[in-house]
Formats: sequence, structure tokens, C-alpha cells
Amino acid sequence: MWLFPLGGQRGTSLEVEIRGKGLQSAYAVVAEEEGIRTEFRSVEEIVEESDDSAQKQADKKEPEYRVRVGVEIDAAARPGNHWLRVVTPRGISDRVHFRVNADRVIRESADPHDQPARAQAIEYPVVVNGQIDTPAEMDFYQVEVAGGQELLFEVTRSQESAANVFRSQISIHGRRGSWFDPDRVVRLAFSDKDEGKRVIADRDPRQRTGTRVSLRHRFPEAGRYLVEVGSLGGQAKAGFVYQLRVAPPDRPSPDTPGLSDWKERSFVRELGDDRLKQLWSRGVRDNRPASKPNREAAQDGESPKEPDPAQLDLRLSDPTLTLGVHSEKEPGDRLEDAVEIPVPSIVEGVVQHPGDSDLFKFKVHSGQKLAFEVETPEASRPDFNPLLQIIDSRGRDQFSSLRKTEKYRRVTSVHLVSVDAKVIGTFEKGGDYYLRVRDVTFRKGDPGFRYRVLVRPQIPHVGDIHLETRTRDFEDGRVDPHRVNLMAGEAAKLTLIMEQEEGFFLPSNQIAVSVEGLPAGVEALPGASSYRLPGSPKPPVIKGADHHLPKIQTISVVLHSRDDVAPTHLPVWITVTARPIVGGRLGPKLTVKKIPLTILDPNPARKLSQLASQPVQEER
Amino acid sequence: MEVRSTGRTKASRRTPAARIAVLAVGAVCLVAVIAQAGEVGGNAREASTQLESLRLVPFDVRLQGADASQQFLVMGKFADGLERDLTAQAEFSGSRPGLIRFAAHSRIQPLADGELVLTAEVAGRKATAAIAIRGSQDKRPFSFPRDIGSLLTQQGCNNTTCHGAVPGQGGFKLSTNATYPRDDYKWIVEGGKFEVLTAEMEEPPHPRVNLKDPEKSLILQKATLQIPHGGGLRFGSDSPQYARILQWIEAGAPYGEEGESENIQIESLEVYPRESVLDLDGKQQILVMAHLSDGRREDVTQQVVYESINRSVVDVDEGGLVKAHKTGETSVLVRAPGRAAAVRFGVIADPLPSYPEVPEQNFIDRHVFAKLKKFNIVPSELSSDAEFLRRVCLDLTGTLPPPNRVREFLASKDPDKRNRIIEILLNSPEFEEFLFYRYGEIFRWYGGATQLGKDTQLYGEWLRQSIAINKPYDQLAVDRIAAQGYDGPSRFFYQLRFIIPPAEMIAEQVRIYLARRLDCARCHNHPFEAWSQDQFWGMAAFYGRMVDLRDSVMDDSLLVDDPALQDQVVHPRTKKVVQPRFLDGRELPEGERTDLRMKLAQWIVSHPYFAEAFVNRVWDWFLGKGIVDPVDDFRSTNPPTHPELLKALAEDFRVNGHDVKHLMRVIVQSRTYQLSGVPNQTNRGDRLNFSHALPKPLPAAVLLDAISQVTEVPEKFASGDRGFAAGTRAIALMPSMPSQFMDVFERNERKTLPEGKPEPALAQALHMLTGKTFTEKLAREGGRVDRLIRSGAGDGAIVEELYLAALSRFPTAEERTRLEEMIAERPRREAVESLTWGLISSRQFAHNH
Repeated sequence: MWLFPLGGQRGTSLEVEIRGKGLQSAYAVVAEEEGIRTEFRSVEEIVEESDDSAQKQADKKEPEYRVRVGVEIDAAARPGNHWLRVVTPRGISDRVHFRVNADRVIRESADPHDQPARAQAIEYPVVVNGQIDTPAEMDFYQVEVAGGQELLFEVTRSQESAANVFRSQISIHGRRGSWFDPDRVVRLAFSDKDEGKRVIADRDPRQRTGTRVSLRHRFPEAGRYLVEVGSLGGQAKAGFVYQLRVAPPDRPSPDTPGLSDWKERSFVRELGDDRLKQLWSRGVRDNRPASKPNREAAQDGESPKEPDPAQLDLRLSDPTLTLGVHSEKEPGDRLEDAVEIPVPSIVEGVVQHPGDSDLFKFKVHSGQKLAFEVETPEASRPDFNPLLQIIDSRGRDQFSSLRKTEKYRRVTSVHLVSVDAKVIGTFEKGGDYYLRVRDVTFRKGDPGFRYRVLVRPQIPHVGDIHLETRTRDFEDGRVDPHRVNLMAGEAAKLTLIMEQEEGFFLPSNQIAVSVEGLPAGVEALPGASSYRLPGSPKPPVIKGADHHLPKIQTISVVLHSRDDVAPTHLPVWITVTARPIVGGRLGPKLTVKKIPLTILDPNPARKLSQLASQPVQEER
Repeated sequence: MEVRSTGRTKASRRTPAARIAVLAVGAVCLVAVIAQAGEVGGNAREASTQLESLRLVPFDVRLQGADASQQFLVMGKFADGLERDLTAQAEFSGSRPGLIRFAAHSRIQPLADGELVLTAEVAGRKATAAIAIRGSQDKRPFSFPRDIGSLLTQQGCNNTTCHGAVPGQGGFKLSTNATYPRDDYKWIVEGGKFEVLTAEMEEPPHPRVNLKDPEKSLILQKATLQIPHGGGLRFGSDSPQYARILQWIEAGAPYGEEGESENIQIESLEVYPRESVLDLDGKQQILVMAHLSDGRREDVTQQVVYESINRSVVDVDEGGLVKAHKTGETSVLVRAPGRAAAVRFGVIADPLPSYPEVPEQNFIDRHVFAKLKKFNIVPSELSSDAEFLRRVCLDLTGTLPPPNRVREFLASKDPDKRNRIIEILLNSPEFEEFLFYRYGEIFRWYGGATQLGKDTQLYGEWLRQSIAINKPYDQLAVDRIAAQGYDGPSRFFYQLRFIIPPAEMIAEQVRIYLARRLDCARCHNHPFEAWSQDQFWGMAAFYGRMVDLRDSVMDDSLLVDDPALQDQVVHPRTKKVVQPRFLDGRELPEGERTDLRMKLAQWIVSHPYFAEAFVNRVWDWFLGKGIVDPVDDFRSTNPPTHPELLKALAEDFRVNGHDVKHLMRVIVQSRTYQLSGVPNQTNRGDRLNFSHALPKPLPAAVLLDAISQVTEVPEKFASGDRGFAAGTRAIALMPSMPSQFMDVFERNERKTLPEGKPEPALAQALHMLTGKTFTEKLAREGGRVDRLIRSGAGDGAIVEELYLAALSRFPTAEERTRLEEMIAERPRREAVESLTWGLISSRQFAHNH
């Protein structure tokens, strides 16, 4: 299923066309978020117009449909990625990507603009809705720039086309000519690097696919230049839709799509001053009194000989604690040059050049459990891959964020290794230790390779929680992580994958799950979970780094509807939540996902007759 | 009193060397010889055959030990510029009797310690050599490699057709030419059968020597045919060889003193002459000196094996005496244990009465023309402007010059216009595009089924960007060999989502950057060269710490080297972990094993082979044949035709920062490159010395682009839902994009490095006749033919335009007349289409000449 044009400017209206299978008898289109109103206009089967259309149609297992829908975008709508869904008598569809833009939006010209000589002229700032649906097609646009002008070119493709192997690329050409051909265009710049793509991905597969390629280019000379939007290997087919945005570089698009709400191990999550607070908001702070010997010593008015480790850790993980920020000092690659830091604190630095490494010195007490989290605020993966190494005062490696997950042995071996944005470890001996930060390669370094590392005590908490993404394979297509289509008198299962971080996984700790906003006649019941997520991580093998990855639990909730429950006309939005429980005390409520649910009419014919007398306009 | 040695060779009428033999008899005879020479060659010949100087080779000798000996050559320089071997005619004498004796006419042996001067005299001219003798009473300790190994080599027992073959012969394995004497000793004394993949023995070993009854030793019984031997009789029971081996076995078959035999190896061979020009029926003795690892130099002329590459040109006997047979050029290979060398021989007819002055434009010409003069070959004239323009455009950009540019260039009176156009081309986008194609060929940018599209894209973009900034070639190599992370060069290391195993990588890298073929050393020691299996795996070990950085196999991955990995590369025979070792045998010290591939990259680019390999490759691109050919098969048995030129080019490349554009500029600016393809009487048969331009078949992609350019009908490349925009040039494509035309014309698919150059095939001729590339483009609306006909141009103008477009020259008057007649006689469009077809299917069009 895909949609064209891919988006519109806020404060405007437009008609979009959604194409896909299984959309027959569609009667409504709904948006997931406020600020977008939709008006369903028509649905029709797409009939090929070529001579062999009859044969082609016959060959098709399932026909495709075209849904036309009017979309009105509020002036206050949030710019960025939005999602539309089609409602049919068979329930609510998968979501389809729709973008809201702050800039002026135009459509690509109907006239051919697939060659430099026929480039479509555009004026920036602008967003162009385009598509590449013919093999070897590429779209050319012409911009006129002033000398010294710098522009940002962004090509955002739809999530659906990205998943359908649309790998967009963008080129800037100048009309420089050559001795052979005075009209020859010469490529000045090129990019095909996906923003948001995770080379080492977060575990939600959808987040592995980036949707935006951007290119920043300064034009030394005034003139007319060409912007080419193409696809890897000249691949093109129906559904390869995109938005080209041309704007000054100080106005990047406002959002980076695809990241989940909670970012436990993303290199681009923000490690701000409130990180401790954020972590505690996903756990339950244990304020138990100090351990007995020290407490008794305190009552006796004596000073304890050694600080109580448990008390110390609890104090250091206080969410109200102000985190100091410490910067690297160059050269910082020798132990004696290391910057001393307290725990907890944030350290900042730059891997300036290949081979550059920075050292920070910290003290720990025996048995202390620390966590090291790294963020890459500017350049990130796949270019910059910061490696955290913990070494002792004699320079010996203790543990690192390098994680070995696979090892194949043949005559020669292949090892699969990963580097994480977080590593935790227990220090058996107290004393001085060092944190070394460098790029995982010996080749990379750049002023943009900035990092921030949070050094802190471990905080037991609930990490990422996401819905099982493979349910659709097992559930006959009626349940997926983002929607539930439930027939009256039947049940559907939602499975949550829950990651328990930094010692949360204890017999006394629990996670409670609930579903809110269910329509009358539908209830959520506990379900059994007997399988693990395929491809789930293996236990860590790094010596000295315990609990390198979270413990994973799955919990299932079964949504059951009574036989007499009334079918819904439009979807109801339900909310899946989870709450950590520590020592019997209930922690804060965490929203896992808001998803649409429809109750299907077991008699589709009845539904269709209802629709005939009931036009639908959906508002959110 | 002097010790003397006098030559007895008969005089000959036909060779100057032989004629000079008569000179040695006396002045009266000299007059007679010159008179005879006058009968053969006339007065000019008389002058050219006058002996001008004499020298003795070697001129400074140190004889060490009682077993030492030294062969001498007497070389005479003649007025015609040639140096001839006069050894046989020379009379030798030593200044101190009692120190030496003559073991043969020109070979001495020490009798007592001391120093003396050896004098050789020919026709009243003298040459001397200083000789120092030490340890004349010291017998050299026995050494298996030298005493038994060299015997086996001389008898041919260990050549590649016998026991020196990879699996050996009849269960008995010897290293080729005794390259690995330790192994040979083991096979002979301990016995056993060689297995490629394991060092384990399947059966109990049977020694080839019998210490209890030495004469019953297998090695003797087989060689003397006392028992059946597939290799026939190698020597008789009464031969010195038999005696030597028997003596060795009777002595307990020792290996010899470790200090002498184990550590002292031949490090290099010095042959004299390295290059020689012989008259028809001329002779030349080869002198071979071995440089030993203990710093000594020994004469091994009588201990090596000689082989002529082309025996119809020259033949060589087992003592190293070369005899010329017919005009031509070839090499004589010299093989010693573990080492080989070559001597290049040219055989010429009568010298030219007067050799013309040939202008030189740079150092390339100096080297090329010097050899041509030596070989009596006169280079062709400078190419015409039209010939040059087409050649340089195709060589630098893979693009034909458009007709208007041809007219402009031909009309220009600017004396520096060739240099100007070279600069224009070197800085054109078409140059970058074509260099990308060239690099794509050697660095295998191919986008096949074993490469991910994304990886191919990244790799290709890295190449493009490197070209755009004219990245020095050494940096390009370092980037590619030592690539880490997620970027272009690192993608080459992947097949789909997995790293290519080190052993599959190293042979290719060595072939690309050092132009040596190590492939066979993966499974066994190289049969011809001194590349051992250990060296192969030692090099492979540099790639042994590469790891993928990723969570799952479905993710893209970063390429990194994990210093913690120590056991990645295991020797297939010994099953032991191999430590990284450079090709020269130097093991990387343990303390330096942090960034192995960077260490390897730095070693490769600093090695003399590196620059030589690339300049030779570029030379091949421009001249049609490498100084070493094939370009990636440097070996001692495939020597360069112009070794000094190769060194000079490599040095120039190095000192200019491995600047590829500079290298190309130097080559195309040379007169050698700009010579005409029209041969003269002296160079018609020359294919080796760059005396005239050799026609080079256009690569399939360039040919296809040229056809599209002439017809003005761009090729469309599409496959399934993929394709490239109209106008995309074939040279910019990855070879995985289907193209019948390019397949027929044998494009390089780049799945592996090519073994040779494509050969013409019948399918190509058929494709020219009926293939749509040739036929459909002619009739296409909007194409050049259509445009010319619609333009109202006259027949003459059309003929001219098509000639300029296809051949970059004006038609001759005869061509113009006949073609205008042809067009007038037939329907005009059909005639013009036929003419165009004739042009683009011609050999002249399909070659760069």
C-alpha cells in the first residue's frame, strides 16, 4: 500500500491517492494523530490499460484498488511523519506514510523531466512531491542559486517504498560542459546515505530502514544547477514516491523518523541532565535503609570505616543529582593525561582524527556496578562508532562496549561483533580506573565525531518495550503491532517484548501490563507466552562485563470480544501500558503503544448496506 | 713467466666476432679480415666492425676456498656500437704464476693465497681484472643444497615436468630447482609422499637412501635405470654424479654444517650480460654470479640451468653458451636453486649503414630509442595529427573526438597543440569517467550477484570520488587494502554479507598491487618462482583479524580489525596458526601487530614492485603491450623488455607522488606514444620494442559507446525494474547490467581478474552483420544518419562528416570519390546507412591505432 503525493503543507488541503490490495469497499481513511482531517472520496479497482491487461489482471492473485481521499492539514499540525489508515468492512488497514511540511509544497511536473535538458525549474524553499515509477527514471529539477549560496537538499521517501527497496539518491550537477560536449552536465555532489539508518540496528526491524537522504552543498558560483533524484541501480516501480526538499541549510526537516519513544541503546538518544530521572521513571527507586552494620554504627555515633556500597550507589543514582559535564583535554591518549571525573558525570569530547582516543579517570569502590552510556550528538553511525573501553590503572583492559555475538570457525573464521551504546560492568576491586573513548576503527576521525558519555551507577529499570512484530505471520493478518481487527466472539493476542535492564530482573521485581480504552464488550485477559523473539541476543561473552544485554521477557495479553459486541464503524484507539513493580511497590505507568482497534461485523454485506446510506468524514 | 690460455676458435666470414678472431693472429690478417668484411658489408661495414675497446668481466674477483673458480668474459666494443663476446679469441695471462691455474680456457681456480692481475688480450688490445685469493687450501664443507641440490637441478630431476611438479612424480617430491632444500633432504633421506592439504603421511615413509648398503639406494638405482624409472637414465654408474651421490650416502647422508648450508642461501643472481645483441650466428657466453646471504659472491655459471624461450632465435647449451640462429628477440632463462633470472637477446641482421637521428621528447624516448638503435630498428615517423587525436582521445577518455573538434584540431597551426589537447583531456569529465572504467576493471567494481547493490554503490562512489580529487595511487591502495568501517573501499571485502576469506583475498591483492601471481602458492610452493606456501599464508595472515561489526547477519556491517583475534589464519597443511609475514619473508614483530592491514598496505606501497606494477599497467593501456606482458605476471622467467625504462617510469611515478595524471601525461607526451602506426622496413616485424604504434582493439564498452556516438543513438540499458537513463555510457556501467553486445565482444565481467586480453571471435563478426547494435541504430529517427539526410547536406559533406565522426580523419580523395559515386547510385538513405555501417564495422573503427 502506498500513497501519492507523499505530503502537503500545513494549512492547506490536497487530494491523495492510496493504492493497495484489499481496499475494496473502503469507506473511511483515518489519521493517527491530531491536526489532519480526512474526507473519503472514492474507491475503485485499478485496471491496467495496456493491451494485455486482461491477461495481466487474470494473472494477478489479488486486484489493486485506488482510494481517493481529501486531506486537510491544520496550520498547527506537527511537521514531519504522520500515518493514515484505510477502513474497510474487513477492518483497519496497515498504516501508510504521509508527511506534513512547513514549507511550500508542489507536485512534480506532468511534463517529462527525466533529462537535464528537460529539468523542471523550482524555487526554494520548496518541497516537491515526486515519484519514480519507470525503470531507469530519474527526475531532474533546476534551481537558480547565488554565488556562495549553500543549500540543503533532502529526499524523503515513504516508509512503504523504503521497505520496498527504494534506495533514493541525490545528485547536484552543474552545466559545465566539456571539450566533447558543450552541453554536458557534470556531477558536483552526490549522496545516498540514509539518515536514521542504523547499521547496527535497534531491534525493531522497521527502524533499520532510513527514509531520508540529504546533501548539503555550497555553490561557489551563481547560476542554474540541476538536482537529480534517482534510485540505486536505476530501480523504479509503482510506489517509489518521494519528497524533495530544497531549503537553506539552517532549516533542516524537523524530525528523524522511525525511532521508538524509549531509546535505551540508540547512539542518537539524548543524554541530558535528566537522564537519571528518566531512568528512574522506568523503575522504582529503592529507598530501603542502610545495611545493618553501618546503620548500627551510625546509631552508636561512630563513623563507619568504609562507606556502605549500597548506600553510596543509591546516593549517586539520586535523580535530583546534578550531573557535571567534563570535557576531554588534548592530548588525552596517555593515562597520565586523563581527565579526572566523579561518578556520576557526563564527559564530552571529539574523536578529531584517525587513531585519536581520549581518557578519563574515575574512582570506584569494590563491588561497584557502573553503567557507561554514549551518545553521538553530531556524526553518528555508520560513520562514527564510539568504542568505550574500561582499563585499570596499569592499562589492562577490563571490559568494553564491544560485544561478540557470533563466531563461525572454518579454516578461517568469521566473527560477528557489535559495539553497543551502553555497557555495564561490576568492579571487583576498588581503585582508579580509566574510560577510553575512541572510534572502533583506526581509520576514522573528524571534528564532527562528537560524543557524550554518561558514567553512572547502574539503575534497575524497564528498558524498551515493544509489541511483537511477527504476530501477523501467526494471526491471519488481523493483528499486527499497530492495529487490531477483532471479530465479535473471537480473540486476538498482543505480545509484548520487555527488556529488563541493569539488575531489574529479580524474582521480587515484576512488570504489570494493562490495556486501556477498550470498547464495551471487549476485555483484556492474561495470555501465555512460550516463545522468544526470534533472533534475540545471545548471552554476553565479554569477560568482566555482566548483563551486557538486557534480560528479555515476553508477556501476552489476549483481547477477547463477546459474541454480542457491536461492530465499530470507525476504529477505537486503545492504549497498552506497562508498570514496573519492585518489592511490591508500583512504579510509574509507561505507555507502550496506542493502537487502533475495530470490531468487525461478521456479515460484511450488512456493513456494505449500512455504508451506502452513511458517508464518512473522519476527524481527529 | 706467465700462465696463459689461448683461444682456438676458427675465423668466420659472417660474424664480426669471428672476424675479430683473425685479428688476434696478427696485423697482416687484420687487413685480410677488413677486406673480407668489405666484401660482405661494404665500406660502412668496415668502419662499423672496428674494435674500439676491450673489457674483462668480472673485473674484480675474490676467490674464497679451494673449491672456488671463476669464469671470465672478454667483451669487445665495436665501432657499430655493439659489444661482442671475444672470450674464445682472447689470450689470458696472470701476473703471478703459481696463484691460479686455468681449469678451462677462460676459467681459473686458485692454487695459493695472494693477489694478481689477470690480463686478456685480443688484437693487441688488453683488458685486466684484479683477483684476490683467500683460503685457497680450505676445502668447503659439504652442503646438501649446493652439492646434491644443484646436482639434482642440473640433471633435471627437480624440474616441473618431473619430481619438481606440484605433487611430485611417482610418489617422490622435490622442490622445483631445489628451492627448498630442507624439504628435499627430508623427502630423500626420510622418504614419504607429498600431500597438498596435509602434512600427515598415509603410509610409512620409505627413504630413498640406503645407509647400510648405499649402492642399493633408490635414488641411485632409479637414476641409473637399475630399476625402472619413468624419467629414464639420468646418469651412469661410472659418472661423477653417481660418485658424488654415493659418496654422500656413504658419509651417512648428512645435510651439512648448519652454519654453512642452512643459513647461506642464494639471495640473488647477477647475470652478465643482462641484454645482448648478437649478429646472425653470433655467440655469447653467459656468466652467472650468485650473491650469497653471507655477503660473498660466487661464480655459479656451471651450476645453473639454462633455457631459451625461443630456440629458433637463440639456443643455449648446458654451459651457458648462447648461439644466434635467426633475427628476432627472446630471453634465456637462468635457474639456480630458489632463484631465476633472464638474459634478453636480440639477433640482428647487418647493421644499418647510417642510423637516423630520432628526436626525443622525454626520458621514455631515451630508453626506447636507445634499445631500438641497439637492435637496428628505426622507429616510425611521428603520427599524423588525425592519428594522434583519435588515439589520445580514446586512450585518455574512451571517447571519440566529435567532428567539429577534429576539424578544429587539424586546422590549428599551434605548435603546442598536442600538449594543449592532452591537458584538456586530462582535465575533462570524460577522463574521470574513463579512469573509473579502468579502475573498475582492475579493482573489480562489478555489482554481481555476490555483491549487495548498496555495497557496489558505495565502492563505486569511493572510486569516483578518489578519481575526482586525483587521489595519489599509493593512497588509493592504502585506502583499499586497509579499509575499515562502513565506507566504499571496505565494501570490496564483502561477498554478500560475509567477509571474503583471507586466502581468497591475498592472491588478488598481490596480483593487483605487486603484479605477482601467488595463486598456486595457496596449495603448494610456486613451481617456477620462489613463492612458498608459507609465504602465501603469511601474507594472508594480515587479513586474519577482520571482523564484521553488526548485530545480525541481515544488518549492514562495519569492517574492523580485532586485535584480540590471533587464530584466524591456519596453515592448511600444518594446521598451525600463521603469523603475518611479508612477501620478502620478514615476519611482523609481535609488538607491531596492532593494525595488520595498515602495516601490509604501507609495506606494499613502499615496495619497488608497487610502482613498477602500476606504471607497467598504464603503459599497457596506452601502448597496447606491457613492458612486462601480461601486466600482472612479473616473474624472473618473464622479464621486462625494457627494464631500465620500467625503473625510470616507476621512479618518476614515485617522485611525483604516485600522481596518475602525471604518469599518463608523461606517457602520452612521449614521442614513443605518438609514433605512427605505419611501420617501416626495419620495424615491420617488431611487436616488442614500441617502434611503432600497435593497433589496440577497443574494449567492448568503449566500442559500444563509440557506435552510439557515431550514430547519435544512445544505448538503453535495462533489466527488469532496473535500468539506466538514456545516454548512460557503457563504460559507466557495472558489468552485471545485461548487454548482448558487450557479452559478444567479451567484456570483462570482473568476477575475477582477467587472465588475458579478449580475442576476436566469430560471434563478433556475426553481430556486426546482424546485431541490432549495428543495424537498428543506423535507421533510428533522430540519429546521425537521419539528421544528415534531413539537413540537406550534400553527399560529399555527409561522407566527410561520417569519416570525421568514426575515424577522426577526412576521407582520402579516392575514398571520397568512390563513396560519393556509391551514394549516387543507390537510394540515398540506404546508401548512407550502408556507409555508416561500413565505417563502424571496420577494423579501423574498432581499433585504436
